[in-house]
Amino acid sequence: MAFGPDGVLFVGDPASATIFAIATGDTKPTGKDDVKVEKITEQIGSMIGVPAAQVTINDMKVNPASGNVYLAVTRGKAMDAAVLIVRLTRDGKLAELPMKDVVFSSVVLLNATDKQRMETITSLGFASGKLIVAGLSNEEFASTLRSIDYPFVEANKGAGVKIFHGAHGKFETQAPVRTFTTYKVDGKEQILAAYTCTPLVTIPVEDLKAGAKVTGTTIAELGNRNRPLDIIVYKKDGKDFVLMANNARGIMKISADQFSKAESITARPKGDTAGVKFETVAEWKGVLQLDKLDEGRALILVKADNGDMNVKSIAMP
Amino acid sequence: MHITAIIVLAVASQLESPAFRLTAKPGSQHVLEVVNFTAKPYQDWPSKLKVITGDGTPEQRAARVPMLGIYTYEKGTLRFVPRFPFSVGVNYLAIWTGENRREFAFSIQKPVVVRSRVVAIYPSGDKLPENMLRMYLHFSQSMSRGDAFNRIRLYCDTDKKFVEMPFLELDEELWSPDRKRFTLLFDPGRIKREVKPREDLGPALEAGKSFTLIVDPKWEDANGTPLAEGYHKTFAVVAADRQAIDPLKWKITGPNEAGTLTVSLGKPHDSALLQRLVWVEDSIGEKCAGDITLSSHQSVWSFQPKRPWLHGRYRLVVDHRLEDPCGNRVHEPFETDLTKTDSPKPITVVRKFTVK
Repeated sequence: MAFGPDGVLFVGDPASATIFAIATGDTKPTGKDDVKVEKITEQIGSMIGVPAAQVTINDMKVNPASGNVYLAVTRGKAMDAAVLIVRLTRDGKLAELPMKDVVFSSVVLLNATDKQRMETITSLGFASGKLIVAGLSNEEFASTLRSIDYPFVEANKGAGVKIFHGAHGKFETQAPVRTFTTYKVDGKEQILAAYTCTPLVTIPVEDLKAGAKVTGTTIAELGNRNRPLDIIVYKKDGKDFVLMANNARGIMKISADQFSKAESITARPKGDTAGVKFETVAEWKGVLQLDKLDEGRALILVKADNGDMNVKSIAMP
Repeated sequence: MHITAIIVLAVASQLESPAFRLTAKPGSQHVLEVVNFTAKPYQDWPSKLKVITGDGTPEQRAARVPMLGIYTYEKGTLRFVPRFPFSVGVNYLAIWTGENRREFAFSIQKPVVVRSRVVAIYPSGDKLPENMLRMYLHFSQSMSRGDAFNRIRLYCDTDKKFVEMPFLELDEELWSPDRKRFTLLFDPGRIKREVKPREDLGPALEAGKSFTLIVDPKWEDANGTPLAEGYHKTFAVVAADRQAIDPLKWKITGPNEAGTLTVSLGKPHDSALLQRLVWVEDSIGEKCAGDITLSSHQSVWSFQPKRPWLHGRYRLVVDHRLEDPCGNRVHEPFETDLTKTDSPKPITVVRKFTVK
C-alpha cells in the first residue's frame, strides 16, 4: 500500500495485476497521541472470526493527511481468503474500511500475468505525480519497476523500467527492487531502493520512463544476512536520516547528508559495510512493518517474544 | 473443487431453551440460528447473542471482541450472519444472554482430504551449477502462504551441515496463481560476483560438493493440512554456468512421423519459461497451438501442434527473456561483463525450418 495526496490510498492486488486508488475521504488530522495497540492480530481476528494466527498483516501505512493507520489484512490461508483493509484511528479503535460505495479508480498492470507467471508487488510509492510500483516475477529474474501517471490515464499503464545493478563498474546484472522510499536530494525527487542482492541505490524519479534502462547509483553495500523490509526518511535536528527495517539486523539508521556527496561505489568495499555510515538500532527487535508517523515518531508492528503482534509509535532514533 | 463440509454440533437438544443450530442453504455461507427462547424481540440483539472465536483461555475469551455480523429476527428465529463466513476448522462460541445464559460451541470440521505432496522439483537433473539462481517446487494441491522459509532447508552433505540463509527470503513469497508452484530463488547477493554478501559468506552452492534440498512435511496446504510426507532432492554441484543462451546453436529435428518437432537446447533451460517464451509460428506469422513437452532434464523442447503440419515454412521463435536456471538469457549472460565490448544485443531469435 502507499498513500498519495488527500488521503488517496493505493493498494496493489497481484492476483488481478491491478492497482486500486481508493478515495478514503480521511483527510482531517486526528490528534497526536502515541499509538499503542497490543495483540492486534488477536483483536482483528475477533472482529472477523478467525484466531490470531490466521490474521496476516501484509502491510501497514500511516495516512499523512490524518495520522490514522491502515493495515492490509488477509483472513485465513485458503485460496479464497478474504482480503480487507482495517483502519486504526488515533483513539485506538479498529474498524474495517468499508469498500461498498467507495470512490476508486484502478489500473491493470501491463504484462503482469500470463499462464503461471505472476508478478508480486514488493513496494509502492508516490512521487512527482506518479505512482511507482516495484515488482518481482515468479519466473524470469528481472526488475519490473513501473512509473504510472496518477490520476490514472488509460494509455499509460506503466511499461517497465529496466533496473540494473552495476557492481563496481565491471558486472551488470538485472536488479529487482525489494523495497524503496521516495526522497528529495538537492531538490530532486529520487527513489532510495534496496535491491534483492542488497545494495542500497538512488535513482532519480525523472529517469523512470517506460522502456528506459536505468542503473541505480550504489550508495551503500549492505552486509550479508540482510532482509530489508521498509525504508523511511525523517528529519532530526535539521538533518535528514534514513531508517531501514531489516529483518536480520534490527533497524539501521543512516545519515542522508552523505547522499548528495556520496560517490557511486565502484571499488571493492572494505570492511563490513561500505558507503554511507550506519548505526544499528538494536533495541527495535522483531520489527515486521515500519512507517513514519510524523517527523518525530515512527510506527512499528513488532512480533514480541511470546508471539503477540503489537503496534506502537516510537521516537525516531 | 467443491468441498462438502461436515458440521459438528455441540450437545444442544431441541428440548433446551434456547436451541441453536447452524444452517446453510446450498451455495450460501453458514448462518447461526437461535430458536425456542422466550426473550422478547429486542432492538439490541448483539447484547443478547455474542459470537466469538472459541480458542484460548477463559480470560482471553472474556476479553475478545464479538465477531462482526448482521442480526435478523423473524417469527421466533434469531439469525446471525457473520461478516465473513465461518472458517473451516476454527472453533466458535455463541454466548446467549437473553432470559437465561447459554453457550453453544461449534465448528465446521475439515472433511478428510487427500494431503498435498511435492510432485516435482525443477531443475530435475542431479548435477546442478554452482550459480544456480532458481528452482521450482510443484505441489499436488494449493498451498498456504507465509511459511515457506521455515519449511525449506539446504543441507551440505559433504560438509555435514545446513547452509545458512542460502535463499532470497521474501515475505511476499513467489507462488503461481493457483499456489501449486513455488519459486525458490537463491540469494542473488551470494551469486553475483563482486557483491558484498558473496564476498562475506561465499556462494551457497559450491562446485565439487553434494547438497540436499529438504522440504518439511509440516508445511500446510491452503486448508491447513500438512503434507502427506516430506521431500528430499540430493544433487551434486558442478562448475558455474555463465554462458548466454544461443538459440542459433540449437539442433532442430523433425517433425517426425508422429508429428513431433524436437529441439535440443544443449543444456537445461528454465522449465517455466520454456512453456511461454518459445513457440512455433506458421508462414503467415500465426502462433501454432499445441503441446510442449520437456525432456532430458529440460534440455530438450518438443512440440506437437494441434493441427497437422502443412508443407511449407515455419519459424521457431525464442523471446530474448528466456532464461536457464542460472538467469542467463538469450545473448545475455546473468552477469554481463562490461569490460567486454563485443557482447551481442539481446533480441528475439527466429530459427526457420521447412516441413516437406
